[in-house]
Amino acid sequence: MKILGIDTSSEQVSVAVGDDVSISASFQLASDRRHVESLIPAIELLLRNIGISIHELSAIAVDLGPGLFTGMRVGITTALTLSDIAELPLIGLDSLQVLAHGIERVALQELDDAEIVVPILDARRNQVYWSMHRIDHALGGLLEEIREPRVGEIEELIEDLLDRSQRSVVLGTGAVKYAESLVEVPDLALLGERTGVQNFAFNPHLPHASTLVSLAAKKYAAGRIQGDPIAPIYLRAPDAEIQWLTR
Amino acid sequence: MNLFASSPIATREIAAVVASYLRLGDTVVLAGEMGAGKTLVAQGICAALGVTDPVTSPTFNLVHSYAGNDAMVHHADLYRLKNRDEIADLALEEFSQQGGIVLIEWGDVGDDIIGEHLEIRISLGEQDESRDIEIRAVGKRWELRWPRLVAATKLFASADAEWVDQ
Amino acid sequence: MHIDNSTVVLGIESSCDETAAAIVMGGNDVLSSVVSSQIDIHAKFGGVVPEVASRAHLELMQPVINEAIQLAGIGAERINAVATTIGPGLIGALLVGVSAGKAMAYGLDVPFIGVNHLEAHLYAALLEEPHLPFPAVVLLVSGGNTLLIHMTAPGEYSLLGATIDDAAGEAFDKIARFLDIGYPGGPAIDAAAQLGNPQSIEFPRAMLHDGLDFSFSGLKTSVINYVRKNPDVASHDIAASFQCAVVDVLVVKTLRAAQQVGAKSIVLGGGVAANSLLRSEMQRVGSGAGFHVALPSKAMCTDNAAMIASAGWYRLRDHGPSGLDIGAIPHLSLTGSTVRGNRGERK
Repeated sequence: MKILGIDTSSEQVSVAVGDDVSISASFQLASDRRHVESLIPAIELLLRNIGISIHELSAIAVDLGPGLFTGMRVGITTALTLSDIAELPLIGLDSLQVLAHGIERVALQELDDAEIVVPILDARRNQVYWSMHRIDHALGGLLEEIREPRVGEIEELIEDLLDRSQRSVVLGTGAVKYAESLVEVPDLALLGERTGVQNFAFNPHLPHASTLVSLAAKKYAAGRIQGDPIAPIYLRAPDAEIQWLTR
Repeated sequence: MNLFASSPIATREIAAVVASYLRLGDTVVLAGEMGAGKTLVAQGICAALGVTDPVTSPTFNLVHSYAGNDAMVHHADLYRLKNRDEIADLALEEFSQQGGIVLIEWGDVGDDIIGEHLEIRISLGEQDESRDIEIRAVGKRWELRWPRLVAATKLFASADAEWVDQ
Repeated sequence: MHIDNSTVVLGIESSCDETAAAIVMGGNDVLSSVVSSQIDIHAKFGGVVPEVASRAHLELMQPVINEAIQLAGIGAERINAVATTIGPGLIGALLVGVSAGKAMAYGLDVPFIGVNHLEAHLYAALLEEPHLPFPAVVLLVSGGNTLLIHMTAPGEYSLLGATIDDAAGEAFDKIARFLDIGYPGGPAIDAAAQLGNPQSIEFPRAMLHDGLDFSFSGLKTSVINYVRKNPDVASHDIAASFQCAVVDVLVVKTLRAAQQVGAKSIVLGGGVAANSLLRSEMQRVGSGAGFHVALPSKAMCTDNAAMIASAGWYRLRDHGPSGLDIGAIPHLSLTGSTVRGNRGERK
């Protein structure tokens, strides 16, 4: 099994190739939003170095967002086109799930006695995207989604967390940006706070293609990839029409 | 505050004064009916910020980006939009977060989406060439600069202006 | 790579409201040309006027490309190169086409060619009239552009004039909306003007005697001022007089440009080239002055991907492919210069 993962839902461009056990190669370019410029060269670089062509892949996985609209569209269009040409199945995953599972790859010990993981991405305009994942310690720290991705004010999330009053680990650009507001929630720790570990293999506050590949590989191995809708998750509710008075 | 421009030249002068108080990351909403001169004000602001390329109407392409002396200037137009989420879709705040200056024609239809900004509202005056120009600040970003902007535009204050704070 | 009459280019266009793909062989043999409006999207999007198209482009890109390949009666493996509009246009819209184009080129292992949308419009006339006499002056007039171009041969051109504020098509749209006579504005004004008297109101012809640049913002304002003062004048007469003012300026300046550079042909392009008065006046005045006047069909005047594929073929032959690290350039100008500090080359 060889899965190509494409994650351009944040300012970062990342691509990875691997399976459910290991990642053979990954590439990331921090920030600067050069998604369309760097994505195909990055894929080319990885596949050339591994010595395979896209036709030898088993599937392509792509981050569907929520996140940066322009970035998401570059990644999704590229994934759709490549999968079409090479006749490969396409696996789409949401960015918050990818972000949450990143913990398993960089800092499993952070989950030690926590009950939930809350990935939070900055959605601008004082809003954040978030979802919630229960940690199954009996199964060695596996995450199970208990709240679907949503968008809202940071205050709304804080209220949600206070209501639950569970020991939680938060991570993501939104968690970092609103760290001062989140402090008021008891039993909450920002990723890295419990263990003091700061030198991660990649920025754990952004979704990364290597996590995407691991998750997609599990789905692929389980045969659960039929009928995945491959469309961007914008999450902003379809909005009302503009009230044009004069024009 | 309410200003009066007797001619297109005066309108451009007011635009230049406003431009001199802009900071990186600022957003300016240009409001007013068709033909009022929103693009003229944008041209005045761009020129004052050091844009040398011709500044043409962005109605069709929705956003034109220009290099000024110290910042990119992004000139947007919401005229063709239908739904409010399309305003969000333009991701104009990404431009301001990158330190650009964003000018938005017809931006008043989505000013709750657009966030803190300066609004310049232009109305056709009594003469064909004259314009009434109302400027107000939305949000705290302009708090400190506001009195200085008011002072700097005093020359253009309309005779019957009501001196309100913002 | 050898480029000849059998070289097949896939063209992709997404700079504005239309998602389009086409297959063109040898630079001007159009095997297929698909524009998204031919696909049934109206049900889904409620038949509305073209809007911000990024989301729609993403949904339509794959079906449109596949339909173009299918209609051409070829397999994807027959494609020798992929040409895609990289600018000018709306960044979100361009990114979808560029992403798809680069992925196609990479996946098929063929060259990628980034095409300037404005340059491509210059090849549109050649697709219908391959033996067009050069040098030619092209009036490219649409919702987003009003340009006068001197073209000495395919791929060799220079800019003679441009609008300094509003594009002519934009003036049509805005005045139609102001007069409340329908949308899109071009056909609405055209139809209303048939019933009106073009001599009834003398609107200003801005910069008529002054160089080859255009200005339509002042005309727009004077129509608005006129209607305000004369609310009872029939909108047919206003539409006719307004259209007459725009067409006058376009024709006079095009003719002046053609005489200045010693052109043999005058070519119309862009969406406004469908305007009936502009077509008939350009034909009458141009032919009268001894020029060959080329009036491409409406499908070729408006945005399409056949012209992108055609421009791509010439560019590939004369300049070779683009790198796969090329980006979308929203503010690309006709002469290829980009805004300093553009996305991708920020300071």
